[in-house]
Amino acid sequence: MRDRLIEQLFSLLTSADRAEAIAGDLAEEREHRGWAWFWLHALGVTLELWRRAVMCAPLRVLALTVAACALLIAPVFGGAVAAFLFPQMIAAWWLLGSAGALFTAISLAAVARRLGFAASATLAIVGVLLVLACLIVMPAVAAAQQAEWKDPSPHKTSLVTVEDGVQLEVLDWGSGPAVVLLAGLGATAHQYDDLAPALTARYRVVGLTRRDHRGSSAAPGGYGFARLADDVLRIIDAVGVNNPIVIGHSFAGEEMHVLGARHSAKIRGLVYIDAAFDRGDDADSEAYGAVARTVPVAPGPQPGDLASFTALRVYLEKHGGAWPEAYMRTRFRTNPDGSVGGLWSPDVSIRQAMTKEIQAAYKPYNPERIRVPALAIYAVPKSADDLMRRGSSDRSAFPELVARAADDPAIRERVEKLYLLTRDRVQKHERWFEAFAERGRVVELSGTHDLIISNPSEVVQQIEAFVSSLPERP
Amino acid sequence: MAAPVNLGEFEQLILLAILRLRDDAYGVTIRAELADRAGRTVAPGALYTALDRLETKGLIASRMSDPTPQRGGRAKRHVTVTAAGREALTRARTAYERLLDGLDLLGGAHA
Repeated sequence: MRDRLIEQLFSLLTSADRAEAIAGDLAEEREHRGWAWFWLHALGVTLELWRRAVMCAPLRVLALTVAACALLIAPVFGGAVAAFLFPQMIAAWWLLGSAGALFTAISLAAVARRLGFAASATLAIVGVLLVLACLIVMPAVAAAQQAEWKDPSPHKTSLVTVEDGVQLEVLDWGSGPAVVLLAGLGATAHQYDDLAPALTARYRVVGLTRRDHRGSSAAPGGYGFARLADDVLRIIDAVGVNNPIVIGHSFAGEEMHVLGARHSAKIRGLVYIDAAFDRGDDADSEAYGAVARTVPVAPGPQPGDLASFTALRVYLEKHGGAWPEAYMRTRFRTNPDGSVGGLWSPDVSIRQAMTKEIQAAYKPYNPERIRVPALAIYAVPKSADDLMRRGSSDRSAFPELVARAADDPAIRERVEKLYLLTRDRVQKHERWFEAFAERGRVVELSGTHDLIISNPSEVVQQIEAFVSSLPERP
Repeated sequence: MAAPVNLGEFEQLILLAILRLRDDAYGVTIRAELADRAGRTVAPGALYTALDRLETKGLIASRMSDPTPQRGGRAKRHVTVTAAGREALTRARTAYERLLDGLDLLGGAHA
């Protein structure tokens, strides 16, 4: 079999009887020289024959060389491309790519010997078309198979102009007293898709997506907190919500500080969802980080968890809570086969401008004191067990760690230490907020930074209690 | 033959080996003869292209033997030196000897 293969290989480069004789000679000498010698010299003979054939019949050898390269490279290349673009279909791609390349190679080799260059070229084109079919037709099929997905949250979507050329996405649910929802940095209004319906029975809920975030315009700047707060005011005026309660997550705290300080007449109250932090004080970061690094973290999503948005939601459910699919589709890119791609982000120039403006706004950090009623909800574990089971502002939930800590006193001790540091840290921010917001109140919930998904019903409950505590305005 | 063919040293060695082997000259035996007599280890690839070249120049002729049960039933390609081959060898040797004439290489080496 191997001799036959070698003979075939030689016969591509020289006459059939020469190939037979050479293969026979090598087989004969293999008897006392061994297989290593045989393969080494089979290769040597091939190269010599090839060299000689190039000089005698350059076109034929060119065709053969292209065929050999196609045979060797195409499956590897095709496989790599497929693995990169369509991780779910590697096997199918590899098979098709290999089949195309094999067809090209065999056709070229067979025809080059008998029909000459023109026919070889024709078959080469056929082979290339086969490979192209793999690269072009298959993704189209995959995309067609991917059922069209629709956002199930019952909101109206519109775009509102806040500045020349800058339009922001606005989601609008329900009717009644107004609530405006602000997303965290990098996030869109869709992060409230699941929470908003719980509020719409009592309130008119409007969510908005900050500039330079997916769904809204990419603006070349405007990341000063005052400008961002102006964007919110424009939306409030444009959609006609009167005297709203503004609720924001994480980075939205910065816009809310400005609204509560400078535009208190237009705002009824503020609810900070893990969003009120003294960003100027990071004195404890080093000590906290030193301990935090010693406590194991929950494993990140595996490739299987990224196979689809549904799969990613299942994974997230196990680790503290899952975002609405509509939100994840704005946060991550979708691969053509429906799997979850990388994080979406605006163009580099915009990203850099954003970062620069935000950093400048944080140094020094001295927001004006807010004058409207405010509720600051913080994510704080109530015990070391809570820290593991439910996560904290800085960590995702890792329930499996509870058993490990029970078996390993060293881990337990580190978690206890981290818990105390976490509490101290949050309490420091709470004291800062109470001093900063003259009509502010603090509430703690045991969950992750993303309280919207880790503690949705408690968040809704807190919002309702806060709103009902507000004095009626004329 | 229109123009006289000049032989390289390697080609001369191969032709001589073929002549010595008489009726049994083919790839394996030629390489063995070169190794035994001339102390030259020749890679198979180099030998086959040299044989091809010699045949193209008309210095050797080849014929396929009947298949043998050894070698997986593959036939051998036996080669013989043609008249032109012998003539080229003679001419090379004559030229060599004329150039040697008057030189005492061995003696010089021992002087």
